[in-house]
Amino acid sequence: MKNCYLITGASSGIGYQISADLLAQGDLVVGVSRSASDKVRQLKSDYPDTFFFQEKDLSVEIDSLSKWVVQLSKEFGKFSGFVHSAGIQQILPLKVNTHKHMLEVFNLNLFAGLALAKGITDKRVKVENSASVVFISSVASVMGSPGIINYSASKASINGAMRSMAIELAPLGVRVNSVLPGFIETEMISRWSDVYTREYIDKAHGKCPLGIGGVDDISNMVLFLLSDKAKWITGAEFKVDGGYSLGDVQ
Amino acid sequence: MKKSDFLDELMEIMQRDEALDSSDELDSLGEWDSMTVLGVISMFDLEFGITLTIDQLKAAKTIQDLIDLSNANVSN
Repeated sequence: MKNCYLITGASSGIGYQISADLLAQGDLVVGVSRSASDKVRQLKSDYPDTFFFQEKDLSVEIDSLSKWVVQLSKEFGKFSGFVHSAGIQQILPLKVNTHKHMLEVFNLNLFAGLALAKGITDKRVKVENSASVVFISSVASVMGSPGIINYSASKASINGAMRSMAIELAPLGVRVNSVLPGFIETEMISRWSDVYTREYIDKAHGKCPLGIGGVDDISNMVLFLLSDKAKWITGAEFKVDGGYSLGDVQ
Repeated sequence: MKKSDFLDELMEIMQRDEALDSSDELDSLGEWDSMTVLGVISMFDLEFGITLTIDQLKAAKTIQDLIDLSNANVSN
């Protein structure tokens, strides 16, 4: 039987890769993103019966998101899991930070994820006695770096929320975990090419014992956490960073 | 708050589609569990500024008993 998953940030990067990998193994995916990309259009063409794309800005009307998920389940069936991969990053030093900038990051990276998790774990929405929620956090949640204060804070908040959620939802059979990717090459990094120059990327590469990763490296871990093979794992943070967080490579 | 809105909010806390009636006995509802109790305490605090105690909720047998705890903040 096909499992049904809700994946945010499905139009690019990690969210796209997770969607593509779930579809390839025969699952049904409801992908969400602010706008459709060429890759999303290709997925719709390749999987017309199992891939359903929802164009939605998750950073507004956040309280309505949980009810929206209830509606989705009436249309597509009960969900076995949810991955919150949608996120934005700002490069912004503290001296120019404002509440508006903080909210931009937290609304999407954290608050939308919590609202969607509320919806997905509603007993009318999730499959009986089980479900898996995976938050895409970041090694930036546990390692400092200049210019990404809001981003780091939002990702660290995800980890904190994830642990309490894991305890609260365990009696319902819901597992909740977060994955902390290290430096991987995604479209989000490309958008910041002024900051993430080739020199920067080469330097980052030098800090990763296993080199810079790809989106498939993150997707592999997420698919494991969504599966029954991870049935005894909840409330955990998984660094998938090629050893980046271990320290300098000699 | 109107009684119908109160019942709708209670349905949302209980995550159920089936309508509730003020005569429904709480213990007969499968959704009346510890998380629902916390949700009701939170609702009374946010909506009515009333801090419910566990003893008050334990004494409540029906949804009407919950409405009575709202100190007339719920009307027909």
